[in-house]
Amino acid sequence: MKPVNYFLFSGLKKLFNQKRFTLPILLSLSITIGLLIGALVIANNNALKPLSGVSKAQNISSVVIDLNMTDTLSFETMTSRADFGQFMRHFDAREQAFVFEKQQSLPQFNGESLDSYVFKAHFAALDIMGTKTIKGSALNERNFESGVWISESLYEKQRQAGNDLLGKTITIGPSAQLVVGIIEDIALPRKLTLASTDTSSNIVNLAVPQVWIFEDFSKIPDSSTDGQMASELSYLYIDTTKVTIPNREDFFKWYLTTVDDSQKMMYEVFLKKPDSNLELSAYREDVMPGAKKMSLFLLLSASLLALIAIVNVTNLFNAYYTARFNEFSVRLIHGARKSVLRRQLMLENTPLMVFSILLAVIIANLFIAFLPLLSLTSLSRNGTMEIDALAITAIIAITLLAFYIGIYLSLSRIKEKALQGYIQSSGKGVSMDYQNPLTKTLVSTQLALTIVFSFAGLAIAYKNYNIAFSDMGYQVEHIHNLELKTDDSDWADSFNKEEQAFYGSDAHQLTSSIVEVIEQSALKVSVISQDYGVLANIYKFYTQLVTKEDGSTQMLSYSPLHLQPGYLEQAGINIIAGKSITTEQYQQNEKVAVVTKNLADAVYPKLSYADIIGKPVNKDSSSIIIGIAENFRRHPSSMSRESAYIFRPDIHITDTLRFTLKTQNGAELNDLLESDLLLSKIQVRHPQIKSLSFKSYQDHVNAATMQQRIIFYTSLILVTFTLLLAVVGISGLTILTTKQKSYELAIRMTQGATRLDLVSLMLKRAVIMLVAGVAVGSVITLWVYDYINLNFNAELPAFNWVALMALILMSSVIYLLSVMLPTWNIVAQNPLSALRRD
Amino acid sequence: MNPIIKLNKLNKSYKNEFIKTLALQDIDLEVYPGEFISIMGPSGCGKSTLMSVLGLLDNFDSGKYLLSGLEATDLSLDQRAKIRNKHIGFVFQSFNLIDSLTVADNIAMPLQYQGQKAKEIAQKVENVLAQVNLSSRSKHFPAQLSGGQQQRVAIARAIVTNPDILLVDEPTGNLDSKNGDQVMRLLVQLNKQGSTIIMVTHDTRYSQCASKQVQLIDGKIVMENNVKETEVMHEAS
Repeated sequence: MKPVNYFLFSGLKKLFNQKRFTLPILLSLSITIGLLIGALVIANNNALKPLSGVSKAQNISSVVIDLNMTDTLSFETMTSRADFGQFMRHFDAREQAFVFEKQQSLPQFNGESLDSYVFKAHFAALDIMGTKTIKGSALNERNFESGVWISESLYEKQRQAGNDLLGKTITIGPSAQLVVGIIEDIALPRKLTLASTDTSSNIVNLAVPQVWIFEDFSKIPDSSTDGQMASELSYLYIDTTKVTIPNREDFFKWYLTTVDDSQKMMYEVFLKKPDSNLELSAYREDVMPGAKKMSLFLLLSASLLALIAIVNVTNLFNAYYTARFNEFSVRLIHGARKSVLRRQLMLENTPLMVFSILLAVIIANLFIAFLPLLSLTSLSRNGTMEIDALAITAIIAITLLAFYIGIYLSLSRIKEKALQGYIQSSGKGVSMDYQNPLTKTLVSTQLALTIVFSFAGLAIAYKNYNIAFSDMGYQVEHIHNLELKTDDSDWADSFNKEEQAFYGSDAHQLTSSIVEVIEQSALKVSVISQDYGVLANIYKFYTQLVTKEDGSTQMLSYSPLHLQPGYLEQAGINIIAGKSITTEQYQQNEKVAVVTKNLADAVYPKLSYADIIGKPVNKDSSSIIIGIAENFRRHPSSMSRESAYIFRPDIHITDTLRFTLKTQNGAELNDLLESDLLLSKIQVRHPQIKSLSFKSYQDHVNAATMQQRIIFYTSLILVTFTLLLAVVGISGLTILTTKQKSYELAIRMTQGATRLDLVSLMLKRAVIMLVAGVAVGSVITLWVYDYINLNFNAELPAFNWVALMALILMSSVIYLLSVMLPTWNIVAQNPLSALRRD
Repeated sequence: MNPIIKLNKLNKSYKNEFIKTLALQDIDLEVYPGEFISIMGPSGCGKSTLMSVLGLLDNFDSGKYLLSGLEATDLSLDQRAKIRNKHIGFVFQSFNLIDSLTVADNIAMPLQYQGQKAKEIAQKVENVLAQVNLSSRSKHFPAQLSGGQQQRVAIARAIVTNPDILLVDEPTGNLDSKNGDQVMRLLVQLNKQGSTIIMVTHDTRYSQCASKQVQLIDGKIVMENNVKETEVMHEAS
């Protein structure tokens, strides 16, 4: 038989006949390479693949001032329309900066709704982003007011339905607009695209169907009264290659000149604080927040895992081929070179490689499909994310490399000058010995990597668990925000009368009327607050100089929330002193308040909580504290940012009315509300209300903790895989070598060794490597932990020696069991049969 | 005098999926201290099986086996190991040395399993190496020795614990005549010094070295002869 056929056929037989060798290799390599390639594809999608319609994304950054107002509160500014106009004029950035603004109105064509969104943008946006014009007029400074541009996906969809929109007129709200050009779909910042979540697939499309209106934002006057509409506006984006931002101090000095006189003092205080920052953040980060960090994490983890697998595989190859040194020696004696042997062994392993590759492809696909499920909310995806030809090539290349490394290192142990020694054996072949340096190094390396990786993985999992799952301080399940919007600001403002108490006022009548409609429409729903609650996408705060009990003053920031009877109890907020407002107090508009613990501590640091009850909120306030509530977190990631809150029985009506609902156990709000029907019922009483939307607290938390949850679950899975790899590798190696050693074991048994003697022999050899691996692993763990914390700002928990010891203990037990159990199994099968001659 | 080994109606068979082979049938055998017994017979007659059973390397189906007064029925693997360590020495056709251990370490192995101290072990190893004329090879590995030297190491390992009996399975099978003679002379010498030896051999010349010949055919003992003492082949120069 030709050598090629011999080796291929031999390899095919070995695949099924020598599962002790092939199965651990198949499992180790296919799982880890599959995970690695899956992670690579995800990382490429998240971090590298060009964003649709934004070919110059790498040049674009957002400009944000992050004011750290107190230890517990920070605020981002530079998000108002006036900010943009002032920035563009001051920095002469009319053609180097842009901003997006999502419009409320939805576009229509011939009376039919176009399933898309309308955005307004500064006219220079397309040029700065590098967006291509597909058809029609290219946007420029002279023609940006001539009509609208629509995105390619919208155009194609309509064209297939028989409507070629180019040159046609569409209506947006009350106005008619001519479609003058077709442009690429643009990948937009996440907060502008959230409404497009396709919950059935759990994927957020970065580039939703778009209609674009352009204007010159640089002409927005300084005195524009448009407030911050954070959810509709993106950040200000600049081309960093063309706009030079001055240093922090000069920038803040300039920014102060743009602030309203009434707020100048407050801003001056905060801008002078050393930890207030000027943040420049890449456009890509706004489009896929946290994606880069998560991708890096996945990639690093999968790479380490693959490294452990390659060590495993090399060890197994080493063990397996040592038993064939006799055969290889004979081949070498008869003229083969080592390079020829390596080629022949690669050929022999081809069937195993093919199976490994196929399995790796399946696992990579499963990983990519499985990841969004971990997020529990929408996961951004930049176009398609799949195992393509490039990914498969990578799988093949890494598999080939892993096999080659294993074969190369194994054969490197054959000393060609001492071939006689291999064939002058006692006749039963040379068995693999733990004493050889390669094995010792590989086993110790594997153990060290297992400890390092497991510890880091557990630390990361712990940190993210604390953010994603720990108690917020209030109930999250079954609680929802309901928003009703009006476009009639005057109507909304008419309900706010100066100095008028809330209960019984027009504002109260308005909110109570809506509550009545809601509760009549959905019997299993109760409105627990006639305003937004502790978790909403609006966040008001006040900052004022307060006089404390001892007469000293302090700049205090706090958020006001509406207090009505039963709210705190229903929201699951714990009252630690005093009580919440009673119905009587509410109806009599008593000036009372419940404050959170941190505010009480700040104003009355020397009093007990019981003594604070009955005191004013602060010396300058007329509201009396009747209860103190436990601190809670507004945002899951704000571990230490426990803002101070004051619950007061008043509401300021704006053009968005907000209510907090609670459903009974098991009831789904979607089914209960039937939002179109509810809206029309509300509109019967209040036709000024134009739209209704709702979102559960759970969705808020899921969206806010998506990254943390993915990292938590992925960390645990990867740590489990690491330990599993260690078990597969060590036990696989032990089974292989012990089986080879059964001849030696038999000899020892003839000389009187008991089974315990034999197991002890194997264990003794294994312990030496365990000690080396643990020592090296511990040192590297310490170093890596410090390095990551210092250089990546990972904010990992404090190094925990107890945890490290526990991990070392667990790894040691796993390792020793992986050695002992296979050894005992083989020894119990009576290796003396190895001595029996036929 | 009581026999060291007593077999009474011993039977042993091998079963596979299709057939049952009777390897040993109704074996009765007594071995007394100081005897040198050679077991002969054609291929497949049960010689190796008999040696395996005698050496407690294998079970038997029925009958009785007494070794140094100990009942050898239904012993666990560990019990057999302990008995082998204390009472039996083995010499195999293919030497069965451990390639990764030196000559000294190979010989020391059974003493280590007895739990003896390192100093005592070293002394005993030195003594037996002198006995087999291999004192200068103590630090060598088996692969560095000739076949005859390897077999002498195996013999040294077998006698280092001063066993009641030596089981020797085709000791010259892998050796040339010169080395074979050397090994046989050593065995004869050991027997003269009091070792009890049971040897399997095909070679009729070497079987004459024994004091008793046992012939096996188809698993049965068909002949037991006492043999006059004969001279071993001349020593090689």
